[in-house]
Amino acid sequence: MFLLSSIFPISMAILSYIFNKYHKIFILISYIGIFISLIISKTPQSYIPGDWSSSNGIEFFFDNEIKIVLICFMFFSAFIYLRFFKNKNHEFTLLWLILNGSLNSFFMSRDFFNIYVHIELISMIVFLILAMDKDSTRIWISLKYMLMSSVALNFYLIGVGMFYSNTGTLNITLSLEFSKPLFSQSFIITGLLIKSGVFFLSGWLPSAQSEASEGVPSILSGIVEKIGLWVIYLIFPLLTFEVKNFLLYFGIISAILSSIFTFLQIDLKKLLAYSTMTQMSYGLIIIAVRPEFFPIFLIYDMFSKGILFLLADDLNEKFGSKNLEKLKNVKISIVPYIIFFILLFNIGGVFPSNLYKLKSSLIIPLIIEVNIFIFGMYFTKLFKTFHISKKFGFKYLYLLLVTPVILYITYIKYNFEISKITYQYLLFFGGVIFYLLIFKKIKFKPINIYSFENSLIYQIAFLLIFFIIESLSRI
Amino acid sequence: MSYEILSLLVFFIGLFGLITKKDMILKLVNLGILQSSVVLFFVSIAFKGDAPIIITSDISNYSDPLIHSFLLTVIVIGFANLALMLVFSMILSNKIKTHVVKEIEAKIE
Repeated sequence: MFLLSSIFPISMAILSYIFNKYHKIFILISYIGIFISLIISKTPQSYIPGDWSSSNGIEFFFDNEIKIVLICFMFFSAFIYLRFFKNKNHEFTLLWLILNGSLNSFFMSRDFFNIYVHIELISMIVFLILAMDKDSTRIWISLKYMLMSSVALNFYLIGVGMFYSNTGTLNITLSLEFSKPLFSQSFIITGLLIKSGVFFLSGWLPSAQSEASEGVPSILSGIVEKIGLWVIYLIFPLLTFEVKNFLLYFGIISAILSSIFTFLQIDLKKLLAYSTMTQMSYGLIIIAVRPEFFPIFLIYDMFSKGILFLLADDLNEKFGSKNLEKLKNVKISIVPYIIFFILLFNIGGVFPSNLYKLKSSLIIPLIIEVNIFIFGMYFTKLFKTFHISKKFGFKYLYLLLVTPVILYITYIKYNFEISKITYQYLLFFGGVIFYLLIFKKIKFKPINIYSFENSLIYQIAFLLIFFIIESLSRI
Repeated sequence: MSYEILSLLVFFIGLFGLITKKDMILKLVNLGILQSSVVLFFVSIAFKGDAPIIITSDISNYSDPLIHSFLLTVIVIGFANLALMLVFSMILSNKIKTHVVKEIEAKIE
């Protein structure tokens, strides 16, 4: 029954393409079908098509965790589509529904090969959506993304092959019992991190998110980039202690560096794209320290980032620019202005944001709090750019209902430490004051470190470092 | 084992070409080499000399047929990806009259 949530949208996608005049009706039926199939499916259950043994067959697994993630994703996807459906044709609907269906079954997949096929399918649809209007820039970013994605997935396949030669199964759960062949973890994790959008490895991300057409960056940042991290979350028990430690420290370094690059950006969507890299690094840190919190991170970040990109798309459409210097002193209606800064604050990691609640439950090096200082700087940069107008912005009223729900998502038991909160606010306001003192004296310019060749070199360098770490752990 | 090492060698040759070649089409040719090496790697894992490729309860030494069926999917996906990339390169070169990556980046980004 739970697989209907994947089969249904894909079937509706084909129908919407054939009966293209009614494509919006098919998308509505599809979302209703997904919702019903998810709600009435019992948990936990697994399904292996053809009644093969789980070691040779393809396993789909469905439990409460996946159910909640998929229901949230369904609402998120419907929300983004409804916001932009007027400008989209039946071809977009076809791709959108196939993307929804394949993402649903991706989250249920429990074997290495099925996951590979799903990631490829999702990626191909994203490439087509990115380049849909045949604009030169969008074709180039899609091509760049496609090439890097191919390299990443070939890394992943080599690693999976190594695992298979040792275990004789592609099932993730069954692989847990076996030893890990040398370098297999390096190949798999490097491949997945390239797809995940972490700093250094994902040279495709800043341009893909800043140049994509409206609605696409929201879905990219909200869910597509998290599929790599989701696989790491699934296979995390397979990894050795040294690899887990390496991922934690890589996450910390990548979070700090991507924050610095976020601050340097003058393009609003690029700024949000780099902040996505920071969030992905936080995701990696959460997986490395408390993997059970990752689904919570995935859900709140999906909505926060998705809505932030949605508002950035609206600003771009309204004022004809995403350059912060050109957007200087523009006036935004009350509701979108408040929501934009609440959600930006929400991913900053300062009390009482969602990220703070998750971070307070993790034991991680204190150096990560440097990010709050940098966050204070780019928060002020944006705060100084936009001004509030007297218009209320009734068009965005629904966001006032959604935002409290997002803030409530991480309502988990967390440590309320006055000293830590004070220290964080000191860092935050330190960043604010530092920016106010220096912004007139120094002109910060964005640095492009992601030329096509450089991006590939970073990936190879990371793979080699990973080889060394994995080899040392065997000595 | 020698086939596995050979396939990894071909993999890194493809990767080297992908980084060093300036022309987009040559990069895609190298990507094809890289993808072929992955297929060769999987075949070499499953291959066991003269052993049959059928799993039955009474045969313990066999060449794994499961991996070959997976490889068909890898080949099809690789072909589809490569075809799409070539189409995109063609559209791009029609619009900006070059295949060289640095020139494309200079004109577009």
